[in-house]
Amino acid sequence: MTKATAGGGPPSIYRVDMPCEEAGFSRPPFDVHLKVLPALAAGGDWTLLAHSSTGTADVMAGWLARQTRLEHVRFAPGPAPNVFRATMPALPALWSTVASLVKVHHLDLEADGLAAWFVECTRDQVHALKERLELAVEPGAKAARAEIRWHALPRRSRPVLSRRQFEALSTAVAMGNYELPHHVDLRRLGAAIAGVGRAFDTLKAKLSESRKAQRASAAALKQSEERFRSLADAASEGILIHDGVHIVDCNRAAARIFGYPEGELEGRPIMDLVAPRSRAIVRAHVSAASPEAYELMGMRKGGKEIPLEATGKTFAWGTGTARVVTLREMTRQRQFEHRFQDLVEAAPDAMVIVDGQSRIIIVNAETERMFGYARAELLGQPVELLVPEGTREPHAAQREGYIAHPVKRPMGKGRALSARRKDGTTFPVEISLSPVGSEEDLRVIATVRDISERLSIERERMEAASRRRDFEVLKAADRVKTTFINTAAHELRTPLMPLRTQIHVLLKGMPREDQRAPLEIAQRNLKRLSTLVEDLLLVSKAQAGHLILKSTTADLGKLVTEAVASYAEVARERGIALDIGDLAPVQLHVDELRITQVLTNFLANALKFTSAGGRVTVSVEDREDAVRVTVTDEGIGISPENLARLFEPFVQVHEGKEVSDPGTGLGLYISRQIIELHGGLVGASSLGEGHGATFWFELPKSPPDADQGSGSDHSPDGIGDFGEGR
Amino acid sequence: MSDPAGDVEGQGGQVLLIVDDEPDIRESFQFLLQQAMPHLRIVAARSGHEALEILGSQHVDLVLSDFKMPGMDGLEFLVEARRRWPEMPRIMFTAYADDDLAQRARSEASVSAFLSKNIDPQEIVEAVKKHLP
Repeated sequence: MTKATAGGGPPSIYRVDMPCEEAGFSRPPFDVHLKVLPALAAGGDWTLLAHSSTGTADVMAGWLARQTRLEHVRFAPGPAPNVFRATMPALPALWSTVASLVKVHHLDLEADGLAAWFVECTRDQVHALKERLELAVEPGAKAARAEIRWHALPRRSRPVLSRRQFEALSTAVAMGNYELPHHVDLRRLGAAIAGVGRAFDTLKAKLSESRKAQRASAAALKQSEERFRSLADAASEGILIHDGVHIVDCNRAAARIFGYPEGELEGRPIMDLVAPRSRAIVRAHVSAASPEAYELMGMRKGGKEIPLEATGKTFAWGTGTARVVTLREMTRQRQFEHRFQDLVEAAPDAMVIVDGQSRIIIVNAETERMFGYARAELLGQPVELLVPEGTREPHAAQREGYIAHPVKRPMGKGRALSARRKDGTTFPVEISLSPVGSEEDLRVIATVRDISERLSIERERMEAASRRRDFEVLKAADRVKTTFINTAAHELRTPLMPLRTQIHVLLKGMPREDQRAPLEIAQRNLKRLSTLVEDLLLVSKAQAGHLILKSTTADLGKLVTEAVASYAEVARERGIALDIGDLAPVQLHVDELRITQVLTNFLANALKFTSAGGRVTVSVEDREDAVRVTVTDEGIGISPENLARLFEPFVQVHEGKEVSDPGTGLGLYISRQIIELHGGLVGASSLGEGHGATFWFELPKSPPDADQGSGSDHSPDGIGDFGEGR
Repeated sequence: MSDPAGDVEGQGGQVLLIVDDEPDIRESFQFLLQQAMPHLRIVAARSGHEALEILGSQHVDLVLSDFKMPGMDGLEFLVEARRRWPEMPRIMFTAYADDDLAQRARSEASVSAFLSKNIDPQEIVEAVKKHLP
């Protein structure tokens, strides 16, 4: 060997490019960096260190074995996942020739078919090498020959490593860490190593030291590897191992998923298997060594995308790390479920997604809460499970119609719907429907909103509105009633007045004796008619709620005394004893005029139905919370059945009986209205017909309302606007 | 009011003005009161306006007015009468059942009495006698 000669100046690094075939290799399916370890060559066998950024050790070994056509090539794993060591008895002829002439650093074979020799020699040696290389090239391959190019690589002017990279590399080598950073271009590194020969020598020495140990572990690894492989190939899920950049190994299922023939995935960059849009997420999981399952779009051979679910685990491998990844193809359903699950969980409404057969495939937690079913009880069930029993059949029919013509149906559109909880109770809902997917692969997203609360608010609002309307109607009716009462009062009283006045005038004007009796009959009946009109007006007022009390503080005893005094004359005329019994002086807040009206009504009734010689007694009794006024007579009495309806309007319990002054049947009714307006009670008792009767009313000591009336004014001059009240 | 000699208005010299749009009421009141008080001179008006004209042209001792009348109602008339002849006593009578009216007649027209048309004729006579000066 005449490697280094004095002539031709100082040695430089030369790069000689030529087609792979010319360099003695077929075009490799990956790039490969081959380095002959000269020190070991001395022992007889040649040792090559092969490193590739795109091929795995196995694939490189297989390829190299075919190239050398040698049977005794031994392969061993290298110091890094895609570095391996080949030991062989001979080298390709050209390589031997070149090595005999110049110092060969390494040979780079590129997947595009170019071979690049990196040699160290002087200019003179270059010429000799060129001559030999050209001689070595097949005589007919002129075109190929033309492609041999020579490049002088100045030692310093074109550094291939930055200072920082160089230092990192030196440190790594010194520490025995052979795994090179991925970003280092190995071809350029080779050149750099040529310039830092010492560092490389250190590397060689280290490699030499660890060789033995590696050989031993290689056998064990192979054994466990075989075991692992058979296991992995049996798996239905795709399993692959990568070093962060390249696929180191994979099982059959992985190759099938990606559409590659067995053995072709190894050595490929993992990103070849990832659709561009999923590369970021894959990088993120790999760099974070995340154990989480995630979804990605894989890329099959030929570029077709395939949805995958991946779970990775990073483990220590050699001196670095590798990642084993299991891959599962996502079916359309799985894809769909995955895409929607997170979305539906985030929704505030219950969401139910059904497939084309209306079976529930996705629900969210809100659905579980709203319907009272656990998720597992819902999935796979027909959606009619959530529909009240009575409407399941029509619902099924409607839904078939919907599936035939699926359109988006927004919330609140359509009929009032009802849903059924697990416990059988139903509740009003609003449902929106959105079809997704294609005709043959239809899914419907149903959003269900419980509107019971809203409905009850609406109902309340409607009821309030209805109450307002009722109130308005009542107010209007009230106005009509008031107008009627006023008009009736005016129209009835107006013609009565001249009649009464004129009969009065005639009677005062000394009529003939034969005229007096007819005039008196007319006067009596006119008075009766006037009383009836006044009573009717009063009843109307009471029923319209227009009977307003004008209460003042009054002594009830005094009112009784006065009322009795006003009937003293009548009683004497009829021969009836009119007495006042117990008379407690009690101050009460009452409408004097109205109370007097009740008193006179009771007194008039008592006198009317008591015969001569009888007795009428009035008493005032001070009870604890109330005052009771009682009028007891010894009259004709009242039967029990009549007692019950005594205080109803137009009741005359002694109909047909001849009395001097028949009433209107309204007196007691009006009395009851007046007493009840005061917050009191009226009542009557009798031991039956012929046994007299007792009428009483009771007034509370504290009035029902703070002030029922607005003032102390009564009709002026004590002139009431109604009659005696019988 | 004294009864000065030579008063041509009649015995007692007192004049009552009845205001009502209904002729039957006017006349029946006239008959009633004339019979009870033969010396009273009674004049009648069919409306508030006519009544104000009469009041402006002659002396009146007491006015007795209905409430419901076309044009100026009894209350308006009495309020105006009170403004112009505050010394002259005023009585309102009405067939209405409106409780508020009595209140308003008292406060706004300061009436001496408020009579309902349903009262006994004798009570009307007595009310007029009572309020004549």
